[in-house]
Amino acid sequence: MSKQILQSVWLARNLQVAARARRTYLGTATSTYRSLHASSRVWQQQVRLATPELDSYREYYKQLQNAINEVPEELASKSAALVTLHKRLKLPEGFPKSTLARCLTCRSSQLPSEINAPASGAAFPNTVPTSNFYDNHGLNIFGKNLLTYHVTRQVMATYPRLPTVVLNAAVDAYISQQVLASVGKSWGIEVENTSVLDRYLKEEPIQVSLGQLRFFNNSLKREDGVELITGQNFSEEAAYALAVRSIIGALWAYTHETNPALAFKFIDDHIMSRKLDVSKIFQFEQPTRELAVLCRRESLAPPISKLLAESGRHSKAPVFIVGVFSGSEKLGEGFGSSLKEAKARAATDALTKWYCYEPVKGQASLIDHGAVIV
Amino acid sequence: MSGLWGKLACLRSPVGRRTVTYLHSGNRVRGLKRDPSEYLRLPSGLLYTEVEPQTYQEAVRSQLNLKSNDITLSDDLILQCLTHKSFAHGGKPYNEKLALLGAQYLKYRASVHSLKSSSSASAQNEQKPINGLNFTNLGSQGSKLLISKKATAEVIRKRQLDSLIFWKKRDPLQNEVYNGEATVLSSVLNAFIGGILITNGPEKTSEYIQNEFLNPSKEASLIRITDSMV
Amino acid sequence: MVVKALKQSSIARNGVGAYLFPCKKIVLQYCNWGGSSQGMRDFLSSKRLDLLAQKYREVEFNVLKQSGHPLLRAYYTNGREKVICVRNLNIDNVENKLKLLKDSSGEILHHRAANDYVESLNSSVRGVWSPMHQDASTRYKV
Repeated sequence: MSKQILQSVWLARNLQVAARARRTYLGTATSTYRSLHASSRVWQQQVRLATPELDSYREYYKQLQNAINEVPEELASKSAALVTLHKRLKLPEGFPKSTLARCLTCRSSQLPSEINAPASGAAFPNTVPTSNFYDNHGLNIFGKNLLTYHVTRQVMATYPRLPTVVLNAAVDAYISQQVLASVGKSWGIEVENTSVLDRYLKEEPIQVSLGQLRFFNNSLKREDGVELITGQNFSEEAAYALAVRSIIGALWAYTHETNPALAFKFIDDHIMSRKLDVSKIFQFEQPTRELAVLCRRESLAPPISKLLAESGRHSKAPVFIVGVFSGSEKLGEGFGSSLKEAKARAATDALTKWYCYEPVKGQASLIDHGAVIV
Repeated sequence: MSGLWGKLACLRSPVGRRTVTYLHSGNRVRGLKRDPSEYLRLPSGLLYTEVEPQTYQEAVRSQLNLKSNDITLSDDLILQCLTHKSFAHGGKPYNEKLALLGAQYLKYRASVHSLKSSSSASAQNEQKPINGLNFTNLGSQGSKLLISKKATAEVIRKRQLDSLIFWKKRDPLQNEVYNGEATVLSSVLNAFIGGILITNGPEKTSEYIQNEFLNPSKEASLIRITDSMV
Repeated sequence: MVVKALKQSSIARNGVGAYLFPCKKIVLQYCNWGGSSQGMRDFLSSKRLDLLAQKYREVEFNVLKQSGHPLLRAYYTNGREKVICVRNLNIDNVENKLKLLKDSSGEILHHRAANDYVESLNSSVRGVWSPMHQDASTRYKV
């Protein structure tokens, strides 16, 4: 313990020079890249005064980089975070922990060369540069295709009559980036927030970092005062969503021959089990007109609104209950503080009931004729 | 209004009142109801309400090789798959949502296909395979082209289904890009896949897609078409 | 377009499809010297933690040596953490506190008033009573 503290003090003294150099760069941050390279070169020269401590830090950095770019299975299965995540998601035994670690490496952790060049001293402290060969890029694309198809199919099977815009919004309510990010958080995935140097000083084993989400996170902004990279794919939310999609993609890859239904069941269990009220998605602009067109298309008698009950017509708080009828069939009912409002609500109610129709289990699949166009 | 001619139809409403409706044909006049036999007709002369199952639906079945793949589609569903949303102002069953589902399924099957095929990239650019599946191809230009609008529309053209589609051009005098013909044609292919998926189930559908559209030995398959496009 | 879509998000319901164990990590902090850690030290040197860790593979157990009173610190999938100070507790009480943390959902503890026991995302099955839907002859007139 005390040895570690001593070491850290020692190293910190060594790096103070570096920090000072970095601060000078920050002071002149308004100028171009050239100043960055110039100042970092000064830093570089001072650091190059080789010490055994820095050499062992370099060794640690190299090891970490090698481990992330090609995760060995025995190292991954020593990582507590990976093992517990595997167990928590009840993934099959054939799903290796090293692939789980790969699902947590986002391509956004691979930085543009001008800000991620360890040789010139501009390395990003939180993660090591990754290669293209061992990240979740392809897995994410495949997982996304899988998710979109399955969720669309399930929503269409449950609510066959949803209009296309509403159907798309419903699918989005299940698998948007924001929702998938919250799924990822509920799976207990954690973000790697400590810098490589901190981890080295803590003598943290490499496998601890393997179980955490690696992406280009904003601590660069925090640590170096550089605000360079913005954009969707670099956010924490995007990284979480990438990890969730990749885990689903990888699950399919391992089980499609032995148990093809497993990946879809996984989606059903984790995504489709969420609660969504589809009737809240609708926003009608002209409900009465749309209902009239619908009745004509379905050859029903034209809809007629009738006042069912009222209270306090001449008071300041009147209430009207209006029902909309097609022939003798009641299609919907609505309330309102004016006759017009109640009528519109009744038509909206009737349309919502039509569009949100759910077939009973075991019924033959219904093929919808399409939403009404006014 | 002297150059116009129309026809009068008598309708008896349930109340017992007699109403007379004027159905207009010829040039469009705002506010007049149009004669269905006019707006339900394609420029080629095919009338929506008088489609013959023996010629129309059977032609579709043979062009798409539905019989040999053991796939059954009802006449109504075939007609719906070939009807675009623009036809008759959406008054007839149209293929929009079937196409949506079919496009997703085709995308999924196409990505499975590219997972199982060998990579076009050089060996050093290749991602580590997972369980023998190659994840490098996904998101590449080639795999995107496979399910692009251009390629799927070409399948419909090659199978001579384009003359059977009920749709309305935005402006008949303009070219096909302006009218979005490729979108309409690709929606028809996607709708067929979606319709087969709903009625025949995913196993048969994936087999059908593999045999017909992802099979390099077939002339009108997506693979051959994209190969010729590159 | 006549129908427009409003953006909605689905709400998670743990246990409806898959059940995710809410507790993801427990850190057991002890001091090697202080007398208040005696029970905790007994617990750590016994077999009980091993048995628990084998039974609950989805929870990560970390042991941390730090001076001061012994603590149990649990992290949950909803992003919260709960800490219990187990100073001067004997081995059984430490284990009970550990099990308490492990079984917790991570939510803040609520005092439930009478008639407020049910918290649900679903709308009422019975519906809401309305004075307007009575027979017109018995309806109250304003």
